[in-house]
Amino acid sequence: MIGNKKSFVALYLVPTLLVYGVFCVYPCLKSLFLSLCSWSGFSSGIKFVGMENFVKLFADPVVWKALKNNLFLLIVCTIVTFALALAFAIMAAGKKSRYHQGLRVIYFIPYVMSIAIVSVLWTFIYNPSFGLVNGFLEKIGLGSLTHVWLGEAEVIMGALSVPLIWINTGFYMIMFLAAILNIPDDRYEAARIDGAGAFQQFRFVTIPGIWHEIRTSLVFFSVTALNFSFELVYVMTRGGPNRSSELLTTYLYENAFVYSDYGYASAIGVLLSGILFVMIFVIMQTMKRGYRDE
Amino acid sequence: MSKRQKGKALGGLRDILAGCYGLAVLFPVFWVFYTSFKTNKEFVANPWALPESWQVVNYANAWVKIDFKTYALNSVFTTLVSVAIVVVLSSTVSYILVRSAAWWSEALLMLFIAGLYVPTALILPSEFTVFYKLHLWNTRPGLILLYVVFSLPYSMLIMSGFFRSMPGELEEAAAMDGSGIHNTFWKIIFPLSKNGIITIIIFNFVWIWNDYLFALTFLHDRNLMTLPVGIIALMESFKLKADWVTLFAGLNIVMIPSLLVYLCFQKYLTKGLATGSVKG
Repeated sequence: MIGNKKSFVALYLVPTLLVYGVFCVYPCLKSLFLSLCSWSGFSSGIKFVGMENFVKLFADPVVWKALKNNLFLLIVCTIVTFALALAFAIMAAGKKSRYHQGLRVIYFIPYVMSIAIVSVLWTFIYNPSFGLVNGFLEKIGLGSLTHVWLGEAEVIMGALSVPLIWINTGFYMIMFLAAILNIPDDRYEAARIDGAGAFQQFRFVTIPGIWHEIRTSLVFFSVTALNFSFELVYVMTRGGPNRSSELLTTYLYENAFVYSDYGYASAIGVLLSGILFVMIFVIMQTMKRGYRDE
Repeated sequence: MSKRQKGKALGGLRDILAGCYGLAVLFPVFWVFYTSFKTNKEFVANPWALPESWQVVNYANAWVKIDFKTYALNSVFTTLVSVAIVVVLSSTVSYILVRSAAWWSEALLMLFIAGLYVPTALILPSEFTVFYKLHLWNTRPGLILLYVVFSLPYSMLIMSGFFRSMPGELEEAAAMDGSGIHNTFWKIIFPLSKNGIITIIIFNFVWIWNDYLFALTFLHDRNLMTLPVGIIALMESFKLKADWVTLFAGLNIVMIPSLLVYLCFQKYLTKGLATGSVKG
């Protein structure tokens, strides 16, 4: 029996740990190390330069611009996505009709589409001459509002946030829906007996009941939004025009794979991860107490 | 207006708004679908209109002219192999770590799940160097390996949630009957965790089938490329030729498989997510 168990562990756990270590844990650590080095690829040697990359980083105006764009996307997309997802989840939890079930299935569809497809699709939607957005605005008599959506620095980040919201809303709706359905009915009943209206039930039963899931989703969204926005911007605008939609991630990619400046690229990656971890920490801490004191 | 009437009116308004959002989601998808059957002339003249006659030939063009066959075969092979490996590894390893009493098992599980919080961009440059050194860059096994590794965190999060909620008596009974662990796992435990398995199959199928970034960064040869990379690479040449409808047909070829997988299995998805990941 014992030998049997050992062979199970050896067969599955050992190789998994090995590949995970080599291809996930090691690259993370190596990025930390590379951020302190100057290295321009395979022909040259790695030179330790200390904080030089970070000094350069903080003096680089593109980094600041990119950081601003990252934060803009994160804040706007989080607020809109979560508000929509929560509203739709509450709606779907209360109703079992075909209409609502159907909507639930539809909302999730963008999440299963390739980010490459979504990017091409939205490039067409925003196309200034035959795109759907400008066409729609002209049709309803708001022709003055038409823009070259992916070409004007003033509107480009707003334009890019729409597909991100479009992709994610359905996913978080399903998350919240699952959480709401897990709230015991008697809590709602007790609230009704106490004379709570629809809003008060939402405020004092639903929100506390799914507080934990909102927190988890916020953390998850912070990470995935980073990855989604990277691919989306890379395909749709490449950070242009004139770096007006540059993100830290696209700038990192450019530095690594166009200029072969692996040290600087890793430094951007470390900055990005640092910001991410601070954000996750803040979310976990500030939302720790709050509700759910059962 | 009484309170009830007001509630009803609000509910109606909410349903209409929800329907509008549904349209906003669905219309672009439909648009890609029906545009792929138009002629280029029709498309430029009126991008909104339905096709006058349905040009199935666009699909034949997309398939043959731009060598979609190679891309599609690569995508199918890479995705199926990666998903199969992830399902086997994540279910067995989660099971081992959840059921083990060793002090390190919980820590290891955390280490795997922590991978969720690593931004892809951070590891790309150094992953590239690792791949280069191990001669995995621009190879199919390399890409599969990468998909497996980066599917593990989420898959193990879901599977460990499943095994935690599964009572231990089953295995005890099986062990008493003299069934070895391999047998017990594959004959009893694995089939019982169907909802979790289906959830991770859908998720991993969808993200691997759709992945653009890894394939772009770690492949170079055209004959190894997967569909998403292929379609983006071709977008530039289509722009020059203004051959929009073939491009749209290509978009559909990439989009439809993952849509079908989702639509067939969507009812498991809600269940799987409800038991698994929300507990994270």
